[in-house]
Amino acid sequence: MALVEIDNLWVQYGDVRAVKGVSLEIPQGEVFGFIGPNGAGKTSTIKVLATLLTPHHGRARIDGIDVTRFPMVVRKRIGYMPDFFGVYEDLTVREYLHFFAAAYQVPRSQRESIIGDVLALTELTHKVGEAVDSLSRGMKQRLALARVLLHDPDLLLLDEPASGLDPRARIEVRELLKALQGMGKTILISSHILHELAHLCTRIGIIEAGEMVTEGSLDDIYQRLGLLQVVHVQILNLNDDLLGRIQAIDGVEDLEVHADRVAMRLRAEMIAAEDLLERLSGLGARIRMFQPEAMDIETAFMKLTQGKTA
Amino acid sequence: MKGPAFAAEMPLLAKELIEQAARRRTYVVRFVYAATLFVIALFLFYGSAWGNPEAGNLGQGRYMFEQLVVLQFWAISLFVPALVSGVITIEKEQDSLSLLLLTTLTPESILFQKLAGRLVPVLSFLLLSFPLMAVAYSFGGVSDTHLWSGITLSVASTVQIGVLSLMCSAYFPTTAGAFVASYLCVVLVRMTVMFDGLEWFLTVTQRDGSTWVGLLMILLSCLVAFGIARASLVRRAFVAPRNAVLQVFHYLDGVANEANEITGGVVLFEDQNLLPEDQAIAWRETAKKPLGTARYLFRVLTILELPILATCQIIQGKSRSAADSVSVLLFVLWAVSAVLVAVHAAGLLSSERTRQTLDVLLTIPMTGRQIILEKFQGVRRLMIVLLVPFATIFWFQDWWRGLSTYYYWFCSALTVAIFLPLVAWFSLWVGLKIRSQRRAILTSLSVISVWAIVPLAMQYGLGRLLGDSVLRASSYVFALSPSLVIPAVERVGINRAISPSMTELAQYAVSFAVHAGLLFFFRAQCLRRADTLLGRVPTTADPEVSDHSPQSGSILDRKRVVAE
Repeated sequence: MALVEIDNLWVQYGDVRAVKGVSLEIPQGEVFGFIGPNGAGKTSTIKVLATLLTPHHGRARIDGIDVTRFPMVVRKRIGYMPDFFGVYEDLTVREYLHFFAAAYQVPRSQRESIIGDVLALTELTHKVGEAVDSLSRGMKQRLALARVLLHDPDLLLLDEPASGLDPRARIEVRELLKALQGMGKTILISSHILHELAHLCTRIGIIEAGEMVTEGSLDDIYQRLGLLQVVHVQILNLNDDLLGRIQAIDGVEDLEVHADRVAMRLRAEMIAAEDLLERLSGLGARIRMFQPEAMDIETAFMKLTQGKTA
Repeated sequence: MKGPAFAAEMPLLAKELIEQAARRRTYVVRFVYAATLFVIALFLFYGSAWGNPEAGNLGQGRYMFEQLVVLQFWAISLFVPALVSGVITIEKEQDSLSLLLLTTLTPESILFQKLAGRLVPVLSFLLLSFPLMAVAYSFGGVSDTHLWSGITLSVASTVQIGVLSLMCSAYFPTTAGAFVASYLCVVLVRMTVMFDGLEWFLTVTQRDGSTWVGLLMILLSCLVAFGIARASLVRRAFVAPRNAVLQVFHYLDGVANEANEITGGVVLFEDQNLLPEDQAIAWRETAKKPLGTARYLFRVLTILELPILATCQIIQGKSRSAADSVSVLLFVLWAVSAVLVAVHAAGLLSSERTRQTLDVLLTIPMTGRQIILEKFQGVRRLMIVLLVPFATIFWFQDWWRGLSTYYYWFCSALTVAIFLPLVAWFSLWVGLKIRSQRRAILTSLSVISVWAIVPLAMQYGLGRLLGDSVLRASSYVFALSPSLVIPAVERVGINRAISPSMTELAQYAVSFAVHAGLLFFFRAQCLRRADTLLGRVPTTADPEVSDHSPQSGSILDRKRVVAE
């Protein structure tokens, strides 16, 4: 059974529909990347799971527990990290973690050791006596991750954890998330920094204007988008007859002849780029250049979204 | 569409005015201000002129005019700091001041346009009083000097208080700090007679003083304040916001520690550096917040208690009539306590929103009711501390006047037991409803002020307008304001010659019952609708799901297991 189940979720703020019928499932132990432009509905969806928003319609369940009917049970099972750390000018790192450990009813006898562990994991042990507000932004994000681990939740809801961080801090957070992944945590992470998710996530969902555009593993999505994969080929003996025969290959959608090359659009599920190369050779084409257009997460995102907001 | 010509020259001013024009609130406030001004003026004029037909109306204009100008002055002192104090700090809080500073606008221009944007509506308020001034003028007795000095006072005071508030806004990093500082500046100006507009007006009109010297002093104060604002705008544009109360207490800590070296290191209250046990939120409110810790509350208590004890000591050797000043002290204590409790309670949750720490708090497995009750612990502590000066005054009155009656103690205790928690729960409710801390504090203070002042003003006005019989008949309604009940309890309680009549007793009973009802209403609203007001999914009866307390063994151990 999936740990997170979202079924036809709708969230509305006044007349604005922020989330429109989003459905997804996240199995236990998966790192799910939630990608979308600002205002796409990522935070609203995460807030529903964090029991901070009541959906207008639809259902969200964590480990089979309905978040709107049994929020208190859900709160014990999630660790929520919002996109902004907040201001805690009156607390040191130790007090901050003890505060949340007590709030999560962590047994008193275990608090010191658990706090020691999460500090060690986030490499903040040397900062334990310092004021929270004096920490750098990267350290604050690590401290926030330490906080969400205190009560050992099944599911981590991380809203833009790398937002506003410098490259080093971003890498540190990414490594930390990999460590959590190694610990078997289920993580739902939202971001608009696409490379972060490409390195980390087992599956991604792309959301735009409140609607889920696509969802699946990166390979699945690339393959799906490969329907329109472009391969640039430079053929020395190109003529109309050869062009006609290429056009007739199953899976070649269309050809665009340029002065120096031919751009071929392929249906990836019908023909892979390497198979096309073989078929072209078989047709007697003398190939000087064969360059499939790189398909990465950014390309996928740009292909799937149109820059709309809810 | 082509905009007005000045929009190109003063884009910031144009933006401010367009924004204000688009808000419904602008027109509502203008209507309320005009209505209030005309109603109060009606009372004043009726008492001065139409209320005494046998004295003749002619020549009454001067008195009416002066009252009107004084009324306007107090309205300006009350409204302008609230309107202007946030003008720069809001930009700082929204991180948009840097963008303004990067434009080709000079700092002087930014300050001027921002100030003008807020003063234009206030000056339009002043225009509303001109018909009333004309009425007063028609009754005679108002010379040209009076007329012009009155108009000049209104405009000069508006500008002066506006610039002082602008200075505070440019200096302080937060709107809350600028707001408090602006009102302190107004009080200081009132105390330093030299720069006070009202004093200048009274000098001109009543004592035939110089017209120009006072006005020049006001303008001088404006220039100095504008200069400080100019110097602060860039230098303090990126100063990190700090809790002003905490900073004051930290400063006092330093002073106390230095002084302590002389006394040999006597420590009355030492905060124990304990960590939370079970009630985490209550721990933070009572161990980490300035108005919650024992050490700082003791300081608040000292500040309030010492003047009371000193006054009691001075009065002890004097006549019994001098003891009336203790009653005045009680009223001041009520005002200070109400402000302290209201500000603290209104900011309890709205400050968490402002600091963006509320969402995290709301995902902890505690009911909304528990969260609010634990947050309220700090306010509760403050109220308990405030009981000490109240009890001191009640005890002194009882002992000094030899009352030997339970009536005074009972009613006084009821006022404290009902009104103080009512202020706290009402302000907390406002803080839950309104998202911004500044607006929550302002709203709760405004409502409490109106609730305290309006019935008092209406009683005064109606008494003058319609006579004592109507006043007596409406006393049940007016007994619903604490500002009338508290002095009544004090007056009847301490004056052994007056025994409360059955009517008065009935009024008190109604008043206490209504206020107690309001207290329970707001408390119930806060607690029953806690989850909804806090902004989270309401908690219903959750099923018994297997306990998910942290597993034994460290997280790192589990990590190793997974890795293996």
